[in-house]
Amino acid sequence: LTLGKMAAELEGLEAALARSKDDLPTMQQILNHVRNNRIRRPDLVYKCAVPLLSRGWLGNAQWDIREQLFLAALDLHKFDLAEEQFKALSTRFPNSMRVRGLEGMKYEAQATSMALMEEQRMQLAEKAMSIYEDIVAEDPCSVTARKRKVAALRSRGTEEDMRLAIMSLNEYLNIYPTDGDGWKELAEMYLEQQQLESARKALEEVVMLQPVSYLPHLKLAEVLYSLDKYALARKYYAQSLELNPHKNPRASLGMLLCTTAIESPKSGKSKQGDETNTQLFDLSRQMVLGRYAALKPNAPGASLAPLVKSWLGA
Amino acid sequence: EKPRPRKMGVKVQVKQGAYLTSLLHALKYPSASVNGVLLGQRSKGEIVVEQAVPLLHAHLALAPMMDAAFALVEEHCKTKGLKVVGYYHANATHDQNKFAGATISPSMAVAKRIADRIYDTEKDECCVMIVDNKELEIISTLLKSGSSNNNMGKYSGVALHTKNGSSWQQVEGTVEGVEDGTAQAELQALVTRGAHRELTDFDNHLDDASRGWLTTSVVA
Repeated sequence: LTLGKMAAELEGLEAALARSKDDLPTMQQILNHVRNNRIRRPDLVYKCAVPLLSRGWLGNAQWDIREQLFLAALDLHKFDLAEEQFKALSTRFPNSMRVRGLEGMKYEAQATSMALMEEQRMQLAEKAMSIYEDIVAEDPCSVTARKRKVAALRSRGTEEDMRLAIMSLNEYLNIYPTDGDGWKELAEMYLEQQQLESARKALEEVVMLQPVSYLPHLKLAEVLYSLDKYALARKYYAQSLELNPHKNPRASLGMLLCTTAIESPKSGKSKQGDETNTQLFDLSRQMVLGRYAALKPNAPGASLAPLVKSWLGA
Repeated sequence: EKPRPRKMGVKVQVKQGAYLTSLLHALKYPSASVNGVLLGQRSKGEIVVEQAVPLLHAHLALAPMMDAAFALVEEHCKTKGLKVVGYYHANATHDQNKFAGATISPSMAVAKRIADRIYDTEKDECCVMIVDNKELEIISTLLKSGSSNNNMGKYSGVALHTKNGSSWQQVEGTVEGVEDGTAQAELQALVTRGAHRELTDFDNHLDDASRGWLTTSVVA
């Protein structure tokens, strides 16, 4: 399921809801779609979950929805609503580590509220951290608490927090080296710090773990391009395009830029390209132009076609 | 002996449309860092920011899609007689977003690198607009309180910077419509009608080429 498809499906569901505003099954579909695809739309969750829960016929399905609404309420800073869901969840699941983790998130979110004093915010942040550390101490294999700790540190953003976040994530990956998402997160954290070589290593792990997925190859190509390693980037762009030739605009654009950089190095050295490079340049150029040519003439995006053609000398 | 006159700072003026676009972009992706390029005009001692072009909401540190976006932005500038005059950035972290001065927050490393690169390419004065998340929250509280509030004009939710030596320095500048609160009220109206959802950045346009970007805007 590509990103484009996921977004289109959600748009369809949202449109259906706009047409019939009290359609509970549509609301449930939206909540499932958002939860399963890990899309972050607290506004939608709030809109759908509140009416559904007030109807009271959900039975056991309500707990997933309450958790979802809890998280959305935190995002929206609707702390009373979040507390309501939390109370319901902790009453129903009294000794749950999962609910304990949610408590940590509650404090994390409250710690960002400007309605509180600086000192209160710091205390709440510390409270959250100690909950995660307690969970990890009780259950060293805990995936959620370990990941939550990394996320909490990362969102605090000080130099020390970032260093600890990276260290904690590396610790986690020592235990779970096949967690592709974990390596992706690590790569993102390195990129935020402008540590491209380290990000590269993390993404290489992802490519090893997901060798037939077009996205990790694409990301690795982009990092290599950013490191000025155009020849190597080109290989990964090519592999990504082979795995997904038709709906991969970043790869075709990236290939175009890559082959251009190889042909005419910025350093002013003489042409470096070979026959393969020229062929790949021509191919990617065709793909990019073709993308705009295929648009319906009244599509808003079609107004970019003249700019694209002008850029590519078409 | 007469004292040497101090170098006058560059004046920065941001049109309401550009201000609103950048904030809508930030509000569309509240948990991510977002960025964009600022287009407008330069005249003696002044930068006027006329258009904000939303670029990315993921992997801001990566070069290729920035390069592609800039290639198209340059074509657009040629057709509209605009210049690249700066950069905007809204960081994911709630605070720790210090951009001005010699020591910046580590989470702003990417913003600084891109801003410096734009400045080096343009070889002229540039403006960097950094969204202030805490100030946005204050604006939100003031808007919620409803009654016409004399304090609103103090909060724009953005911090403007120009280059000073090797670092960026915050400057006062003017954002059209902020002082009398009309810009903030318009922002609220736009968010209420879902304009931030409709906004298309370069990432969105890449995912779906039929969506208008660069030449279209959700802000009137």
